[in-house]
Amino acid sequence: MRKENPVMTLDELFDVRNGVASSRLSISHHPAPNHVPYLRPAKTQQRTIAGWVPESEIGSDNIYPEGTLFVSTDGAGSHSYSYVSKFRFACNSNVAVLLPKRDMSVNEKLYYARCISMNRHKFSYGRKPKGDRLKQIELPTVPDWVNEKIFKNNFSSLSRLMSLSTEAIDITATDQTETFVSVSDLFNVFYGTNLELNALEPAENGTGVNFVSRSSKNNGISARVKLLPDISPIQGGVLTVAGGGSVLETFLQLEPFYSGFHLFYLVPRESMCAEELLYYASCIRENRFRYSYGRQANRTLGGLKIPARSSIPHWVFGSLAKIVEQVEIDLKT
Amino acid sequence: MNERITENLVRDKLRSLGYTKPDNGITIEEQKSEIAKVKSLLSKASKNSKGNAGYPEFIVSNLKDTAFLIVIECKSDVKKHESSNRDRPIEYAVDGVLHYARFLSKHYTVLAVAVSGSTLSNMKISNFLVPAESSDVKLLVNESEVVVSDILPYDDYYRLASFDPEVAKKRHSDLLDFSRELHELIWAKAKISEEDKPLLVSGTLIAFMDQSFIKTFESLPAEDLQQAWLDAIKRQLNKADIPKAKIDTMLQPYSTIAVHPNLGRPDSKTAKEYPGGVFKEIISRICNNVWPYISVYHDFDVVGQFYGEFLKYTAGDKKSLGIVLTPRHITELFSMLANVTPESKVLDICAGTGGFLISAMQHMLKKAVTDEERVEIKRNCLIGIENNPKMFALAASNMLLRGDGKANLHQASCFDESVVKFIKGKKPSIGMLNPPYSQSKSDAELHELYFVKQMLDCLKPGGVGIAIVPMSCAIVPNPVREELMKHHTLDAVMSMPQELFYPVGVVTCIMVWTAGVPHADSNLKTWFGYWRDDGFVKTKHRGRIDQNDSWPTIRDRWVETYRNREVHLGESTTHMVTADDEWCAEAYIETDYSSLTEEVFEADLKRFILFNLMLDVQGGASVKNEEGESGNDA
Repeated sequence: MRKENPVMTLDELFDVRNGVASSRLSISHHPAPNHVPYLRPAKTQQRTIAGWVPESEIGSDNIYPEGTLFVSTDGAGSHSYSYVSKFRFACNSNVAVLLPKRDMSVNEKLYYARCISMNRHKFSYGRKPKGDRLKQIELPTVPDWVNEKIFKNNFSSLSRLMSLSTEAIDITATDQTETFVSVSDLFNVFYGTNLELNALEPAENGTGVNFVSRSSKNNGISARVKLLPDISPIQGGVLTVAGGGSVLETFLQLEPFYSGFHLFYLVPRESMCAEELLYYASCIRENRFRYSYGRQANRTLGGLKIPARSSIPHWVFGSLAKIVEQVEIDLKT
Repeated sequence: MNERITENLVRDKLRSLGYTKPDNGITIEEQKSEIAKVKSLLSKASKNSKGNAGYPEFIVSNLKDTAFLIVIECKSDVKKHESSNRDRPIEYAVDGVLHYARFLSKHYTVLAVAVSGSTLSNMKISNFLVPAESSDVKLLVNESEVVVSDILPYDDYYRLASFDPEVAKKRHSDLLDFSRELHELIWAKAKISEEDKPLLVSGTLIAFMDQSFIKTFESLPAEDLQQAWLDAIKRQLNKADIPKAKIDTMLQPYSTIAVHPNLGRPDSKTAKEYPGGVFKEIISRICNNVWPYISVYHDFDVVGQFYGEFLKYTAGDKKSLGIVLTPRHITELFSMLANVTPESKVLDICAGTGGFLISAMQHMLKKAVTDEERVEIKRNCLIGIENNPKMFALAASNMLLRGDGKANLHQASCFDESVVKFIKGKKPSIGMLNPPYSQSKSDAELHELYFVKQMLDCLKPGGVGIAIVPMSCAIVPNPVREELMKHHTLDAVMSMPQELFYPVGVVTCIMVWTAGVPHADSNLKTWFGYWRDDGFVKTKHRGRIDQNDSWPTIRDRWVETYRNREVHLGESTTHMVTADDEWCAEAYIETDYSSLTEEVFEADLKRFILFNLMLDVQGGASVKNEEGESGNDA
């Protein structure tokens, strides 16, 4: 008899607790003192925070500690998705909280969260993973490798970003007078390749080039497409700026890319380090208030006033290394 | 001492103030009430709080507004007028009446009157206002904030109570609810086309001005009602001293409704539900829910409100004809920007439902001192043109409901030369304009700025012309811009909130012009305001509203900075512009980079790092990719 991987039901491993109905709670849209995040079902973990509720209203019994596993039990697009929380939280009645009956590491909980989410196909908006249906979900025992996984070295981009950082500079050496110059004084402004995404072929994993559009999401990249034989992609190390759509969303592109409609790219006239480019991206983004659906940036981008290179604050230099270090520390703990 | 003596004094007083006149709709009840709602609210309101029913000495109600009550409580001894904590309802008059008012205010706006004393000369009277659904008790004051210490005639009580901002707000939201309800009824039962619905409301309101109609419509048979309705409108128009030709133009849209088959005799199915017919149901609902507002809130564009509300539910003509009604707080803002006074003459060449003219009239009347001035304002100081006959009827009825202004409203195209000539003769000093939007695609001559030019050309030199136009007018090159500047001075441009016209999605700005002075001659820097936050928020059912009461403060700040041409970082600036430049604040105000702090920048960096981490997760990681490509090359 071969049963290496015995199966257990969910309620053998966890106590199931339900969240609190939102009807009598005062939910605020911003964090406030003595408030805890109030979670709802969602397809991605970022979207699970519905707001913040006063701890006094929710009662300490319904606040769960950091590292607690929770399951979405309702919603057509979000049921069954399970996550491990990075913070203390309360949740609404469409979220079930799973409290382990034995000691469990975060890695084990993450493993179970994944396993529970994999049961999503068994449920639908009409047949929800609630009550006994949730408790009877079958889960495998945790393989040994789960607890051996540590984050270090899994993120190759961290070391690469670290290498892009400059050394922090001596504060006294910089000229901190505020002078402003035009975008076109520091950069050559070009109109991108102006391609249409739906005319391009999507690339398979790990091949092709980025396609940058006017999106505010994902560093402006909306797809990865196959190389065209007659058009060479724009080289990395430049800023992309949306001229319409999410106007003035500005991103540093490190990789070669194609660009869509109304997308500009800025090539620095003198060589600049990645941190300087990132700082100018933030500066250009600060000008978003000037544009609306009715007024787009296409004619006026080059004339926007930004701080001169001599006015770049000292904290810009070395900032990338500082934050990468923080992230690495966070990931290890 | 006997409480009955005090009650007799109050009864006499009420009689002398006309409360008991026949047919005024007022009912006075003593020690009890037949009104079911009052009965149930007071069923546990005994003053000894033992849970028995309690009844104040007098309860005054009125058919005209069934949500408003006056309650009166009497005590014979003036020493028993008010206790220090107002918590001894059995012994003290004020305590007692407020005790009842708290129960009744769950449903009614209550005017609580406490009377003590046994002779006319020692009688002591306190008046309090308790707005519906609130437990706030306010001492009743008159318009000049003087505390009222006598019993007033009913209409005065009603008026003073209505001007309380909290009461007005509640009424406004009631009206919104009602407009939805009415729309539902008309949509489901009467099947009337979109543009006729507001006419139905405005026509009914005019008909109500006719005493014989408002008293008799309930008893008329369904088949006679439409004709009676039209006759009542006709009588009112004749009475209003309007030229014959204009009456005909105005009546025409109403006569279509008066012959509408769905409003006539009900079919057997409808008759079961509404035995008097749908039309009577609609009329009586308007009578109960809208009519009371008209007599009190003169500054409120009720007809425009309904027009806007009805448009929300339908595709309507909100896009095809480019008609978007100006939100009420913007019409108010215009009057303040133009600083209208009783000496001003205000012109609106695209009057719509008359929102600008009504708001300007209110501002002028507020500042007017003598009756002579008031008459002059109504007769000569408001001039409007509206091309669409149905809209014209709405505007005219709107003005008529305020008993004024109608003489100078014209149904014509604002480009009609004879009308323009007539209007120029009147020498208007202030122009306000919300032209029809986006008609220019089919006809360049209908570009919004041509309307602006037409308005400015009608004003006397030095006059102020204010227009709200799409943002494109301020930034897209167009020959009319040069033409405008050749004759007029661009004084100021303010960028308006993105969703100002919600649910219609158009981004707008306000332009202020000085008429008749070429821009180059003025040699003046234009003032630019970045007015993107008016404090209004979008709500699920009420549209865009001033939920946090922040508008008055924001408005006053806007008007102040404009009038003094103040320049504030991120808020406003001045700049010399020509016809080739952009005319909007966004192009000239400075960016406040001091808000780009280390924390903000670090958040941006984290997003950048996160994006790179996500690439690792998705397997399309940049490093791996580079290796792959170089591998291919090799």
